[in-house]
Amino acid sequence: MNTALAVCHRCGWAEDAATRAWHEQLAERLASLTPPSRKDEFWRYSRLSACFAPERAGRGLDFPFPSPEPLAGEWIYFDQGRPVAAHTRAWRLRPWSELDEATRARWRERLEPGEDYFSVRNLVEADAVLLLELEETADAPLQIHYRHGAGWVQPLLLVEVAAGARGAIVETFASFGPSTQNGAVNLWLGEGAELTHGVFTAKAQEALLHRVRARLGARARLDVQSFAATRGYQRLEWDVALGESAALRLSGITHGEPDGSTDVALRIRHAAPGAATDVRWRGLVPAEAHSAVIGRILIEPAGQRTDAAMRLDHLLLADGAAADVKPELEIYADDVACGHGATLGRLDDEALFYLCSRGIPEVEARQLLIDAFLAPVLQRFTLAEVLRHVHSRLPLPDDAAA
Amino acid sequence: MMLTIRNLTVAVEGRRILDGLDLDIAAGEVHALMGPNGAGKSTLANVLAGREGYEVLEGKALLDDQDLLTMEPEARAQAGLFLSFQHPVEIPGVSNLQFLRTALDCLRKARGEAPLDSAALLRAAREAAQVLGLPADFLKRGVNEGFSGGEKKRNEILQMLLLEPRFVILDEPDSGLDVDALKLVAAGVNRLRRPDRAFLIITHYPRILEYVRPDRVHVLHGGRIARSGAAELAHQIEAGGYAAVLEGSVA
Repeated sequence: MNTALAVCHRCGWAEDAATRAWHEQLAERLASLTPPSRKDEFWRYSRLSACFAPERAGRGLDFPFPSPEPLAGEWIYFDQGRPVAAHTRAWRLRPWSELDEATRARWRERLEPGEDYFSVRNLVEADAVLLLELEETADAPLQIHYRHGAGWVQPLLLVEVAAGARGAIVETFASFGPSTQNGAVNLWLGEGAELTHGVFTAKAQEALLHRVRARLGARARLDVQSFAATRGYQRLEWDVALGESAALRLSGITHGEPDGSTDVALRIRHAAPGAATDVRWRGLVPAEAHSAVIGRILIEPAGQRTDAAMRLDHLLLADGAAADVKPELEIYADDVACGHGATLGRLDDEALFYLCSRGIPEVEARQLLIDAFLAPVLQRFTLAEVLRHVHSRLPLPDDAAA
Repeated sequence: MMLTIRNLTVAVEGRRILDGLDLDIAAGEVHALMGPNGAGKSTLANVLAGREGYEVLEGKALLDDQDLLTMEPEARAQAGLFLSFQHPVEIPGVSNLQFLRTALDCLRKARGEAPLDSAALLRAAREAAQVLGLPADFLKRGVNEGFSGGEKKRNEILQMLLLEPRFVILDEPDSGLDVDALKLVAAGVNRLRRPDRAFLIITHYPRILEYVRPDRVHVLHGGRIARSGAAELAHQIEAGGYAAVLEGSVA
């Protein structure tokens, strides 16, 4: 089934009265907000100026992208923030204009952005709003490919996985010209639902801000597998709230590139008992690159029997590499098992000498050690669609014969 | 001569550790280098292997006719040098099999040989692991990761067996080993003894020399070889200590 998605230009929101009123309130709120500064804890290490550079300013215009090429399996293309082509059997796709009032009301409530400038701006200026619904189990991942090429581009995706359903989405990003994509994905997982979520950003070399907000119902599971790389600026955010006995596994790699800055912010909230979070993020930072990861796990009083762990590690590959890493736990429950840690280091000279002393040239020895550093995260990547992209970026160990 | 060292003088942080050391080792020979703590035995091993942090003030070290001291560590290994480390480093995330395959491919490429096919490497590695009493899952585990001291030493010998170097330096291969492990290590060394290969065994104690009989024993003292002799010299050291055998030496 190939579905051509016609969404009217610059009107993601249908013109029903309730949405219009809500939208006007958001527009007023946006007018009172300013972009975050480094005084804000979660933006302390960010290099936001790239997003507002003159060549990226203004709202996105049409851009002459190459025709979308059908991908293997199920897929959607977003060009300049708007869905332009799709092929899926398992997922139901509906633009906002096709939603009934009850669904719209539910999502308006879910989308409350608080005072976050980029979230509010995304809602006010969304190029398109698309709801993806999964009622049963989908065997193949849904690949969502975003292309941006000019000005500010602001897709908004709503994803609902029904109770007991199981599926996967893989988001990939590519930039074609000076532009800033300020996108958002809202994930709602019903009771016992399971979603694997891949995020691969290495082809987006312009400014990219991407927020994932996830709400996990009781016993729901979210498995995030992310690979971030850029010579521009990227900001990736996850804001996850876990229901009773829900589980989040978040695995990520920042693969720094010269002159690039990647900025990851994680906000995870345990507001119900028995939930588990396991975060592992590793960053490789070459010369003239910057990587930041700020992670906060909040255990509310109701979050008894929480099991939470967060490891944030960075490897600085050269002089002139910079990384800022900050893991935090904020605990208001007394029956929890929590741990967090961070490391910043260089390649181990002893290990490098050991490998070279066996006849391995230094360049190869360094790559072996880099692969080894990434291995604990790569081993958690199960999505073939993510691994295919990662393989194109990294030599990976192959121990299949052992 | 396979290894020729002349007037080797080495400083670490401004302090002379080796001071005019001369040493010759012919192909087919096993030499033992003994000496009290701090004599510079490991310094010699590290300088020959190319570890950073050592300042060569004078002298030369030739492997065959190649000037080791001007070569990168990997080039020394490709020339046939192998150092069995006193304290092998752990490298989590790099499996032993991956490491062995990469090292062997690099060495064979340097020798102008085709890569060993995976099945042959796997077979050889499993056989060597079995001979050395290493656990069955050893090949999948990270290099030396979580290994006991004895397992690390046996892993060094396994690498030596598979990489087939021409000149081997064993830096205290016996430290931390029980007698059974010591016999396994010694058997690995003896298995590789050939007319075109030579060994330098660095050790404090003559115990391993009961299982690997050396052609020559040297005592390092004052930064140079202070005394040399046949295998019996090791027994004299054990019986009388270093002071006794060094009495009247030139150092």
